[in-house]
Amino acid sequence: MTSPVEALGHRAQGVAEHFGERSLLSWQTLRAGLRQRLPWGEILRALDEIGVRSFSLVTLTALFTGLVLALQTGIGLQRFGSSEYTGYIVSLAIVRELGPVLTALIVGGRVAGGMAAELGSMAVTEQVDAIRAMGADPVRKLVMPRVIACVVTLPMLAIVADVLGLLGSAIIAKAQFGIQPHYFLETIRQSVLASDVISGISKTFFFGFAIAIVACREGLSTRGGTVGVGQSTTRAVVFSSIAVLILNFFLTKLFLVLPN
Amino acid sequence: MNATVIELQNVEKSFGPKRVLAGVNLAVEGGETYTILGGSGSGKSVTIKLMIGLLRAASGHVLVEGRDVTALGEREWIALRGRFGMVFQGAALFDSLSVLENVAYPLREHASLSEEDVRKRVAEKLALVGLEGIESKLPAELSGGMRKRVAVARAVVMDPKIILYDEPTTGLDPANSRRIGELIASLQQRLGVTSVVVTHDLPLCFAVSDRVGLLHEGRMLTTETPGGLRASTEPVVTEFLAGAA
Repeated sequence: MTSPVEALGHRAQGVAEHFGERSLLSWQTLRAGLRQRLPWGEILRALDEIGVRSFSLVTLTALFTGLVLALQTGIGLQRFGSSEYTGYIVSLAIVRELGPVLTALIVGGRVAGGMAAELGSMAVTEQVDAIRAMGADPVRKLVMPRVIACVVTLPMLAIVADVLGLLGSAIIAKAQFGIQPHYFLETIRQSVLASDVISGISKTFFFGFAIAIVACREGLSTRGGTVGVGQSTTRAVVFSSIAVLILNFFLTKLFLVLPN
Repeated sequence: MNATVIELQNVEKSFGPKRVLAGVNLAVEGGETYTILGGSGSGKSVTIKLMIGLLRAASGHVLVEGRDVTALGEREWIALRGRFGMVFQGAALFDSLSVLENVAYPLREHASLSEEDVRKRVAEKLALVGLEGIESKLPAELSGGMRKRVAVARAVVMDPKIILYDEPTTGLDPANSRRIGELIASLQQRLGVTSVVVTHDLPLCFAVSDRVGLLHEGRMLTTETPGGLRASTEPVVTEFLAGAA
């Protein structure tokens, strides 16, 4: 029977190991990226899987988020007779937060599960050991392409999400509140600064890196056959979402502190 | 016999509280086929993975061609593994790659060959294992025996000096098991490599081995020629041979 202090100690050790393993993989990936030849074939495959195949999901999510956000905001402002200000609020919310964060959560949920399942299956069938046995580096062959693909595609998808979110808002602003598109666009131009767009998009580089590292780590550390693959997949989705939410807070604070 | 190629000195290995190897000593001589025999869970696969650095010994020493590799880092191992070829228990072919790409994998990683030379070398190695013309197939389209032979072709494509076979006949029917045994013996004769075979398959063991080590309770109980093992009166050996036969 372990005492509460011992249990707390084990828990703390587990959390420290968790962060330690991910930090180590991050370091190995960065080092491999700087020192070794880039595996272009794997990178292109990962770009297709992560970027191209997430496009429709991001499109749908962003459009409907824009629609519902403008609807809710407009109705709230209508109570004060100021629904024409909808564009000011909605555009800031989309560009600074919702576009980047929702994209990261949606894409992260999709690709983190896929990556963990694929790498997990490779780990339990000794394919990862086979890569090592053939004198290749699994970090370079398996992790780096996925990290690069996530870091490259997530900002692009976030830009698409920003544009479509604003488009959805403009549609509802016109249809529900009679706000003319050119006026809506003018409110966006007045409220959104370049720094808002840059801070929102910049966050997605970090989100992409975190999602890929978390998912790859879960996949590569899979043990215990198909049951283990299932568990790794679930953990990858949960941990990558948590990583995005926690990172978002600290990055937002950081970008607010940084000078425009 | 030639000089020792692989040596394990008092090697121990544990996974959590479970002690798998409790001081293993063995020496594989150059050009021989050394078989590690033992029951399920006796630590055979762990032992072979220690030889190629896929696992790290908790204590003791692992020597490859006289060099102590126990504490080598992963990057140094990557360079050293060019001397090895390894056939995994489940073949460990990459599902998403064709047979050609699977066998060519080490070539693309380490050798600067033209595409034509890569294809020629792959075809040559596939012919060596008796599988001509299957380059475009995916691993899922192959039988268990064919997958194992493709794995052997991949293991020898870089002309390694040492080949490690981890349970090469597991999951195969007797005919395919015999074929794999013949393949191991024929590669041994044609390529003159040093081979380490991990198995609990007695017919395979007696068909291919120059020497056999019996792993029991985390220790190398005895090392004998196949004939010596058959003649042994050691109770654990006779019990194992009777039980596995």
